Amino acid sequence: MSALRAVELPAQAPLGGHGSDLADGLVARAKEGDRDAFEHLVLLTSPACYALALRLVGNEHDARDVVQDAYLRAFKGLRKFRGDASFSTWLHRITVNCAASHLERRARSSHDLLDDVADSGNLVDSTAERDPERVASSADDRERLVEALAELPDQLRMVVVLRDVYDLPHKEIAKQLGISQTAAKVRLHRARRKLQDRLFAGRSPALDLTSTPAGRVPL
Amino acid sequence: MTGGRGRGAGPGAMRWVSSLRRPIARAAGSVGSLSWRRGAPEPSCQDVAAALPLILEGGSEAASVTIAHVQGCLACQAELARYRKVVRLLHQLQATEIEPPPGVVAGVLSSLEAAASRHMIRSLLTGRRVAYGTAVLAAGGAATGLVALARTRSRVPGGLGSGVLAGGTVGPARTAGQA
Repeated sequence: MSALRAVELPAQAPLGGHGSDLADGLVARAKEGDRDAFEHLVLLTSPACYALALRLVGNEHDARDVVQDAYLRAFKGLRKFRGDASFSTWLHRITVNCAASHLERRARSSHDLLDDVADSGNLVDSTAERDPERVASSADDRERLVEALAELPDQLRMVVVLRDVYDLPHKEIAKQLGISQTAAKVRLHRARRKLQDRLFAGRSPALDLTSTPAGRVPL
Repeated sequence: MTGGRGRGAGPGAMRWVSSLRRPIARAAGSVGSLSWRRGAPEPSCQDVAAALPLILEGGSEAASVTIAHVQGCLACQAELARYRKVVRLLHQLQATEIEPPPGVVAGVLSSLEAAASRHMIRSLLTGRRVAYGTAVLAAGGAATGLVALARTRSRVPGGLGSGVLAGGTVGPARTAGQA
């Protein structure tokens, strides 16, 4: 086990982006009770699993818990894994389930706080001064988008992350979150609008549309 | 997007509008199917705002009324551009690398180890329980067998106890006959 911990693996890989032969071999060995093989799988998939968890729950502390929970569930349920989908896909679903459960528990334990965020309907930080140069930067946009994502109500964040970041179809999102497709679509739209409000708050319209000829969008 | 409309922004604006036309044209049919029918009043900016996801995801055919509105409304064009930018930025996030902070993998591995140990202990206890159960069952079976054997022997003529009765040395019936 300690030898495996020293194995150097790519720092980041998408959940579905590993060599399938390597993963399949490890899964087969792990299913036979080889714990080293499972730990190797953890090392291989944990960056992507953590990234997904972080995007779904919005903070590092909860993401750690979700990742831990996801791998425990995977470990316990490995014998039931039939291999219809790849291990990465299976782990992705488990992580989403764990994140959903975690967020439910968090919501129950801090209901008032959640209500404050959800009911405010306004994620715009009106006090923040924004430097136009920073606003124009795409990298900064992404950074602020990540911040805005973290501030979204949990139900909205999960849908928008699964749809727009991980490109899952509405049907799959609805299935994984236990909601209707219509609900998934409504939440997606609400999430995007909130992100849009946050991202473009206090920004001059001309800066929003940098690709358009200057002065042609007189909002 | 709050109702204001700006038409006639010049030829440059029209070129930009034409770049928006394709997705709008694809989706406008489904937008139209939500709220508008032929001959119905032109949709408002708010109606178009509600239909932005459909515009982005595409539809079957164009609803000229929606196209006309967006093409002629710079506020809606701006809104659509912002909306698209949000979606594009979200798509870009997948390629953004996130390094797990130190301790995440170690935490997972130690929790797995703990779970495996618990599992092993549980298996061991389960095994012992099975062994105890089997032993109890075996003992019970043996006892039952012995009792059954004893009863069987007691019924067999010439067996233990039956000879005494047959010999007539004891028993009230024999005593009565002699009398």
